[in-house]
Amino acid sequence: MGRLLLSEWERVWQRKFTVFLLLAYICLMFIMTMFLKTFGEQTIFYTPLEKETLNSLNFMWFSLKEMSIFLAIVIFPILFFESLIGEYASGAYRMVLIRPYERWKFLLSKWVNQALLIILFLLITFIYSIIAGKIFFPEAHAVTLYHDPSLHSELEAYLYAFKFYGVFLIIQLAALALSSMIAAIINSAVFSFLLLIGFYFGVLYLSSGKIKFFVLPYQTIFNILSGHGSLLEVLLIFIILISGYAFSLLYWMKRDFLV
Amino acid sequence: MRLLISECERLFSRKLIWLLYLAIPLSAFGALQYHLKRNHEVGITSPEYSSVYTFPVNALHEMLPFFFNLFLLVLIVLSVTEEYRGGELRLILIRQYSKAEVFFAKLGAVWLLLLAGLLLFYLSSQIIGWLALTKVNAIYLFYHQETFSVSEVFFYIIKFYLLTLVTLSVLIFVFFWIAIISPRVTVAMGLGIGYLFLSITFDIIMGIIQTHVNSPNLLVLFLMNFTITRVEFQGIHLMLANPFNFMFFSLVLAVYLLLFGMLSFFYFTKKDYYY
Repeated sequence: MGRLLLSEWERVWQRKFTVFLLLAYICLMFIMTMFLKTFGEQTIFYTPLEKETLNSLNFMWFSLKEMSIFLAIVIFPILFFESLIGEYASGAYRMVLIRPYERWKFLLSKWVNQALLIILFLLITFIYSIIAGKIFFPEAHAVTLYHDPSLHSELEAYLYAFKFYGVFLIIQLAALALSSMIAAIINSAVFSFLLLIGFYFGVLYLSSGKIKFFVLPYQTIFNILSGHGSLLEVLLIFIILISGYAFSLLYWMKRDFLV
Repeated sequence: MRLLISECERLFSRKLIWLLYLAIPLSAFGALQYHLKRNHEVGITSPEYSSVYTFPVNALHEMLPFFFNLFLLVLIVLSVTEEYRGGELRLILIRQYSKAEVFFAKLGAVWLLLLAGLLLFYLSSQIIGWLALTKVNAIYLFYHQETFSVSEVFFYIIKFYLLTLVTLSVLIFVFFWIAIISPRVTVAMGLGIGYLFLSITFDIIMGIIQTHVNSPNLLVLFLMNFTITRVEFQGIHLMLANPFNFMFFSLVLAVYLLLFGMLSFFYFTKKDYYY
């Protein structure tokens, strides 16, 4: 199983596009920082009505807030579908399936690898935000949080950042479960990409903006961490998480890979 | 000519394209739902009010950045990247056509399908509007002070759809270039959606910068209107408002056409397809 994981990881990084995505993401983060520094006047918005001043501590989670839409809609779907559908559609995956592992272990190795990729991107964002926060934004030793005007110490700030990134990770794992379910049924990469993006925006539109954690994850995360999280969203995240993985495992086991 | 017909046939044979054409009346219906709500909020004197006569324009203006861009991206990715990387393009190149002729045939096929899509959208939005919306006598349009009569609005609709076709035709070249440089179909889709996303973000950021620099800064103003999504969101209405805007946005589109037309043509014709 470990060797399967390693082989999957190698195959992900052998594709030059993954490296390109990572570098482009870091460039974009830098451009975002420069924009916030020169034109942002050190204010950043939780919602169009509520704002906050940027400092070196809260830049940790505000940098993820700014990049979250790009990650959720562009970068992670590319990575998910390249792994889940790309190899299957081109026929290259048959060479991997020759190896003597049980069928479900292959799917599990894909999931673990994609989860590790998500964690890698989040780690890079975190490290970048700490460094850039110290360089570009005013030094702070206490922060205020969303709907919580009392001051919190540095340690509490790091804890909040960890929770922020953690909830975003869970939301993206639900997105991975959804992508996995789509990829298990549909063989065309174009259609599945369209279906995923269409599902994200369709759910947002049909629920009149109540279910927004796919497209606008940061609003949901701020709400959840301040205690005002909507039960509907949290329930939906866990339902998608569990049912997505269960259904895709079921379809994967029955699938004929020799086409 | 036969190559063009074969390209069209191959595109039409894909079930995803049928699904997209089925989605066009549905998107017109979705635009109707939005406008029914919006009509209550704005009065009859607002340009945003959709009567029977202005609904085709307003609905297209809603659906253009979100639906038709993706429609175009899917068409081009299916036509170019999937055939190239799937090995089907080699079978077309067996025929005695040059790569440039294949390039223009693919372009023509995508353009014809886009035209069909726009016509279908106009028909479905006009029918849906005729069934669901009210008739008004004096019609207000964006960026115009005076009111218009029904026949004048009809010509406005024709001009609007023509300009949309031109804008989307320029976007075809951009997506063509993205499709030809992508090593895989997922990469092509991702880069296309990433391009649209970055384009919209650029517009928003330039808008924010605009409010921060003092006195109308020409460079910021110029850059703000330089993306295709900007033309889609506001540019077409602005183009039909006065000739200066028309010249400016035509220049923007011409620059994109020149740049991406040359890029896509040279990439397509210089690539080695025989591996």
